[in-house]
Formats: sequence, structure tokens, C-alpha cells
Amino acid sequence: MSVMIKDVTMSFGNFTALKDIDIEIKEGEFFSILGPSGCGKTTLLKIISGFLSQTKGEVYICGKDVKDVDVNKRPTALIFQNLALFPNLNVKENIAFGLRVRKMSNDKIDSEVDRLLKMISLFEYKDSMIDELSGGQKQRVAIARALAVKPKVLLLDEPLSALDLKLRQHMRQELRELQKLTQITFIYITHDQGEALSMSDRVAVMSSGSIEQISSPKELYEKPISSFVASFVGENNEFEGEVIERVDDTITLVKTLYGNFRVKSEQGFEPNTKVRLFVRPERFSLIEVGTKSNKERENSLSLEIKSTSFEGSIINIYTKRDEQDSVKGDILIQKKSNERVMSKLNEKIELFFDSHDICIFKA
Amino acid sequence: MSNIFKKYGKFLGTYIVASVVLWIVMFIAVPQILIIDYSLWNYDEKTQAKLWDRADKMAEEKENLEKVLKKEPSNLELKNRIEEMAKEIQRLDDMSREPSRIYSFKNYEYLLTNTLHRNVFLKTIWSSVLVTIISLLVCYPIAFYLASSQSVAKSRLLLFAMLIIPYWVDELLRTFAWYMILSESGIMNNILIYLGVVGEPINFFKNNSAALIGMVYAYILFMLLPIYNTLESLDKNQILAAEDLGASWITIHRKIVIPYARSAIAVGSMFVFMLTAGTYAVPSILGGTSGIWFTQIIYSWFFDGGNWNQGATYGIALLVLCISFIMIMLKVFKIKLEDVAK
Repeated sequence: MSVMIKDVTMSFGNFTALKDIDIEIKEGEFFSILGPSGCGKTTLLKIISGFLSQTKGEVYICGKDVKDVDVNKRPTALIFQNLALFPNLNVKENIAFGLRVRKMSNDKIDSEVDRLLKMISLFEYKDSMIDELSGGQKQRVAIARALAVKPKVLLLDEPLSALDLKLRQHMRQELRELQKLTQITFIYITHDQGEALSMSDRVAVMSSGSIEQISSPKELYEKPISSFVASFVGENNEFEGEVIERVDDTITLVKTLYGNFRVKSEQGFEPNTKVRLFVRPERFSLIEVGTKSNKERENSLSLEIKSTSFEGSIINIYTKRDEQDSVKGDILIQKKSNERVMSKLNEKIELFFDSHDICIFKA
Repeated sequence: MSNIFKKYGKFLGTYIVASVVLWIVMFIAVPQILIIDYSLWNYDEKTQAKLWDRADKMAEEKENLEKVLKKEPSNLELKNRIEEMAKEIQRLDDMSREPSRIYSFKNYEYLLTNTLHRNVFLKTIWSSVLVTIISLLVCYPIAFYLASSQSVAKSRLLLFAMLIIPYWVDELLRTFAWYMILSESGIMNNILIYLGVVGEPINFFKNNSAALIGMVYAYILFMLLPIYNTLESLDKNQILAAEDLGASWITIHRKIVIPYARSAIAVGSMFVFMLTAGTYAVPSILGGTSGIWFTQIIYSWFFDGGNWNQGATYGIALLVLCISFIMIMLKVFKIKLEDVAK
């Protein structure tokens, strides 16, 4: 076990930033902590790196309780959101900083820095000052600087948030490859679910100081265990409903403003229970005009197009909610842009979805 | 130039140009040129003495002739001669009153060869350096604390008020306050005696420590504010990052914080050094009998010795000293003059 967080609580005065956090992170794992801003993820990171000490609970790194280990003695390295590179030092000296502090011999430092520079393919920039680098290059220097001290755990605090979209996507891949190459445990903090899903082995979703769910990205997306996770991770359309009856062991029938939905769920719900339902935008299927009528399919609904937006590979269709619906926002439907989509505004489209593509939670 | 007129119009443009020209000419060029000129010449005293001599001799001769004239009042020739002599004496007198100027480096030679003055000059340099170093040592921790304490803004405000409010009082009065604190029956001696540190009251004025304390106190804000200002803009994550990479506090300051603040340290040092080297009031009040400062010698050349040329030379020496100090600081801290101007 690389990092074990046991029962950690952090309070600032009356405010509880973290509550009974339990996480076990395996060695060599790319682990993300995903949550909206203010959920306590940065606080957790600071506790792991040693900048804060928890009010309660223990943190073990490589099996050792690090309560009394100072920041500069922990086997962790942190990559800051703003990178915090040293502007008065050049690229080489930035990377060498941690090694010089450790009083390594100059020859060793030189060869180690050269190795890292080659790894991040910035060898020819070794004498440049930090200001002369582009955003992506700075990013790589920050990573090399952190890796130079051979940490057991690399902590990353939203390091990609300052980059533009294209570069961010490229860096995701680079980070993932680097992690595979170095076999170091990465703990990656982000509020961007795209980053968390695309890079991680496992993701912990946090909300207001507690862990909501820890699982693989795919599971997180397809089997969220709470309505928070369902709405926070990826796009999701929420519907409010009331259970009519349990049809059999797996199917529950729910009444909504848009019709009765058959929901696949192992969990049983009593009749008249208020529930929240979620359907992913890409899980809707269109019923072409003139084919089977609406009534004959299960989980079908008819919605009026409000607007559409073309996003290259996909097309987003925003449809109007019922006037009595207390959930705000449009219902989003995503289709591949090469599919023929009828997209006349203010026209009704007929849709259906599979009963296992809908999630149900108690309201 | 035409840009200024385009941007601000005729009236305002003229005003701006005129004030800049006035500033440069009246406040920079004219005084400097005048002082440099003064430092380079002396009155021709030898010729002056000769003229005096001749006038004296002639006056004596005239007196003798006047005696003769009394005996023979009808001697017109003699009378004319005496009148001519009176005119000549007047002429010599006038000439000796406006002696000619001789340009030379004599004044500078005098400064270099006068061991007493040279030693005062060196002592002034050394003491100013000392004051600068003490100010830096005192200010750096305060500035760092002020800049990095994200805590209560109120306490920071209070500290600032405590540092700045004394500066609303005139420098002379503040110096007198220190005179009272450090005098033989003053608070400092009372405390030291009460604590048993010393048995007899210390004469702070005799050993120059009073003057040094007074100078550090007088100019400390000029060191504090630039450093504080710069350190406040330091990305605190850099400190955290260095700590995270394993650096100790000393290393963090040596490698991250001080290099970041180096231009501010240089600017603060320049301010303190120049103000200290050029101060007159503090050593006069707190210097006691032994504490002669170079500025005091300049003062006495102008007002006691009556040799403005020598005084101007000493003034130039002080100016050269300050410029050299700035150059050295720029070199040592590897900064450009443009950075300082910022």
C-alpha cells in the first residue's frame, strides 16, 4: 500500500473541511481525487504532503505513519497548481534544486538532471530561464523537478488548469505515459472530470469534505452510487419521479412528468417513494418518424427542441423541460454528428432509452 | 516632443516641457556644474598678497609725502603726485579684493593628502556600510514576516502604523529623542544598570554607538519598504515548493527569497547608505565629541573655514562615493539600473 488515509478529519475552527476520510492507494497507481472547488480535496493533498496536519486520523506513506515527519522529509513531491517554478534559476537549476539540497555530488546531479531533461525532451532548453518557456514546457519542468527527488508519491494539484484545451489534452496523455514509465504513485487533484476519467486507474469523488465514491472511471460513469456522483461526473439529465410499483426483482416502474419509466435496479423501492433519475445524454435513441409509435416502446418520451449546437464529432440537442418540472436546465441529448438528426427548432422529437441506462436514487 | 503636444494640447504640453526643462536645468545641471566648477579653482592668493604689499608700501610712501606737503603746501607737483598715489592705492585695493582664479586639482590633492580628513572620510564610509548592514539585518526578517503573514490584516496594519507614525515627526526631533534615551541618566542606561548588565552608565556618545543607532533608526524605513514591497509579490508557493523538495529554512531564504528580493535589497541599501553618508543632523547630535562625520567637515569648510572651493571639493568626493556605492551594488547584485528605477 503506497498511501493509506485512515479516518482523517480536518477542522478549521468550527468548519470541518474533511470528515472521516478513508482512502487506500496502491503502489504505482494513478489515483485521482475529483470534486468541485471547496470540497476539501486540496486540504487532503496538503495533509498528505505535510503542509497541514490533520485534526484526527492517520496518514501512512509506504506503511509509515507520517504524523511527525516534516514536509521536507516526506517521500512525497507536490506539483503546484501554478507550478511555483523558481524564476531566478534556469531550467537545469530548477530541476537540480532538490538534489542540491540533498548535497548530492555535482557529477551525479549533472547526470541525473540530464536524464530527466531527456525524459521530458527539453534537453536543449537546459540553460533557458523559466520565463522563456511555453506553458507546456513549464509543466514538464515542474514534473521533472518533482521527480528529481525520487518521491514515492507524486502529488499533483490541478497542474493542467492553466493550459489551453489542446495542450491540456496532450499533457493528459503525457502525464499518463510518464506515470507508467516511472511507476510512481500519482495522486492527482482535479475538478475536471474529463481529466480524472481519462487518466486515472481509480477516482475518488469528493463532496463537501467526504468521499462519495471510489471506483474505476468506467464504473464511476456507468454506476454512480449517489445522485451527487451521477450529476457531477459527466453530463447527466435528471428527472424527478415517484415509484409506482416494483414490477419484478430488477425492474421498478417510476412515474415522471414525461411518462412512466421502467428502471433496472437491484435496489427495491417502496411504492410512492420520491426518487431522482438520471439518464446520460448519449443514451437516448431517436425514433424515426413513421416507425413504431411512441406508446409501443418502453421508456419513451417526446421532447421539443430548443436549440442545437454542433461540436464536431457530436451534436448537442437541447430540449425543453415540462413547465411543471422543478429541475432546472435543458434536457441534453447527444448524437454522433454523422447520424441523421432532425434538428428543426421547436419541433417535437420522439426518444427512448434502455431500462438499464437509467440510474435511480432516493430523493 | 511633438507627441506631447499632440497628446496634451498646446497649453498643457508647454507646461510639461517647461517644467521638465526647468527641473533638469535648475535642479540638476546648474548646482552640479557650479559645485564642480568651485572645486576646481582657488583664488590667486600670492598675487593678492603682492598687491596688498604694494598697496601698503605705497600708502607708507604717501604718508611720508603728505608730511612733506604739510611743510610746503604750495608744492602743486607734490599734491598731484599724492592724488595719483591715492588713486593707485584704491586700484590695488580693488584688485586685491577680486583676486583672479587659478584652476587646478589642488583642492583634490589636499583631500588626499590631509590624513585627518582622509581618515574621517574612510570612517564615514565604513560607518555608513555598517549602518546599511545593520538596517538590512533588522529589516529583512520584519519585511519577510509582514509580507508572508496572511493572518490578520489588523495586526499587520498595527505594525505598519508603529513603524510609520514616528516618521511623521521631524528627523531632528527623533534624533533628540534618542539623545535622551541614550544619555548617561537616560532610559537605556537605567535599564542596563537595573538588569545588572553594566555597573556604570555607558557613554554611548563617546564610542559612536549612539550615532550608529540613531542613523539606523532614522533611515530604516527606506530599507524596509522596498524589501517588503518585493517580498509581498513573491509567490508563496515557491517557498512551499522549496520546502516540499526538502530545503531547510536557511536554504529557502538563501536560494529563493533573497535572490528574489535582491533588487529591493540593493535599492534599500543604496538609500540607507546615501542618506547615512550624507546626514548632518544625526552625528552632530549623537556623535559626541569624537564623532566627526565627513559632512561636518564640509559644513565647516563652508561656514567656519570660509573656503567654499575646498568645501565643494569635499562635496564632490561624497557624490563620487555615493555613485561608486551604487555601481558596486549594481555589480554585486547583478541588476541593471532600469530594474532599480522600477
